[in-house]
Amino acid sequence: MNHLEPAEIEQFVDGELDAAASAAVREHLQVCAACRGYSERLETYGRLLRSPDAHAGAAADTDEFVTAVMQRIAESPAHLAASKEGPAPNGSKRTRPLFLACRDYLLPAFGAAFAIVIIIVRPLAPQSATSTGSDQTHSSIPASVTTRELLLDGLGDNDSSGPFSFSELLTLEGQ
Amino acid sequence: MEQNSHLTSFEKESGTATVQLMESDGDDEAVRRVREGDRDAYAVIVRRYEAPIRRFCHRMLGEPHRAEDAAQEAFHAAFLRIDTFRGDSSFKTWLFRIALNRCRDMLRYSARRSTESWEAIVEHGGHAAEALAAVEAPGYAAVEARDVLKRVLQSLPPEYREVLLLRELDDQSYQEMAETLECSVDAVKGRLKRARAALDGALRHLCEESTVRRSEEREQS
Repeated sequence: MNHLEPAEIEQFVDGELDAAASAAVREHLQVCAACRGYSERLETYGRLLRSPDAHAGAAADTDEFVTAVMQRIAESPAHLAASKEGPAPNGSKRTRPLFLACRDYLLPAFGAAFAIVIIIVRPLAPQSATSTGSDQTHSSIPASVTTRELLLDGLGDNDSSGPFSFSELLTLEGQ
Repeated sequence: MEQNSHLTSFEKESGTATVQLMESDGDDEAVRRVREGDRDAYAVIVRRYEAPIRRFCHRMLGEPHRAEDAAQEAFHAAFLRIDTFRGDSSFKTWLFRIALNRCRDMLRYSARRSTESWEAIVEHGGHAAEALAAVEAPGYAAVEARDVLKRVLQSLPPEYREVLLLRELDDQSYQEMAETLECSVDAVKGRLKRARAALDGALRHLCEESTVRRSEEREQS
């Protein structure tokens, strides 16, 4: 005897076959113990999985669950922001006041623009009396001085405390 | 007032007129009211779907406390995202999709991802598995049979577990499962077939091991 495909039995058990196909499968199950066994096992597994247990759907703690969810919602920042705007009167859609849009979008935008202007303008400002020592050093450097000269000067080329001065190192490297 | 005895303190404080109206309304009306800022309407939705969602999370995660957390987070997330519900699928399917994603996240990031060892399952449920595999469960101690089935279910990969639970626990059609899992109906059929084969195979394997173990014990004694 040819057996049914497992998928065919599964679709029969799940009620996904049309009437004609269901009738054919039902007829086969009456005469085939192996296919009938699989069909019955599927139904048993389904019934056991559906059976309620101690943790799910107990009527006693349904209220607690609903309260806990609504509490989470009430405490969530998104909802707090929405509730400050007040409930919609007569079920009409809430319109967002203009000042709230200003608060949420325009103020940060102006702040960011102001910060950018400060960053751009500050280096162009003339040296004031309150400039730091390093600023004064940089402003007194002639434009003709090269980076290497600055480095040699900054690292103390004339300082003989170390084994080699920086210029000596450069000379050694060149050799 | 007696009619409202099932309401939570939150719902009672908010007034019962809206709630009474919502109890008889469909999901579309409830969702419309929630979008307009009616929190009572959402309490009705939570009450309507808490049982299947909690049961699903519990069977997916296997731990009651994490399952409660996942279910609450799913309802919370659904409330925050309710404006994104377009109505392409039913609200229940959309809610299940959120709960499923929450369970997946929890399973992914859980440090205790490892499931019960096969040895432990054999030790605890060999007799029940034998009864299940022999289709004796209707007359068998159903509690023990359900326990072993849940243990074996937890040992399956999550993708098998979720498709089995959506089908058996929530009685979803293949089309609804496809919407929940965001895949085709053919993919659902394939995944369900593999999941059932894995479950059936595991239970039969459990039964064989139990039989061998008991025969060894008899020989030793």
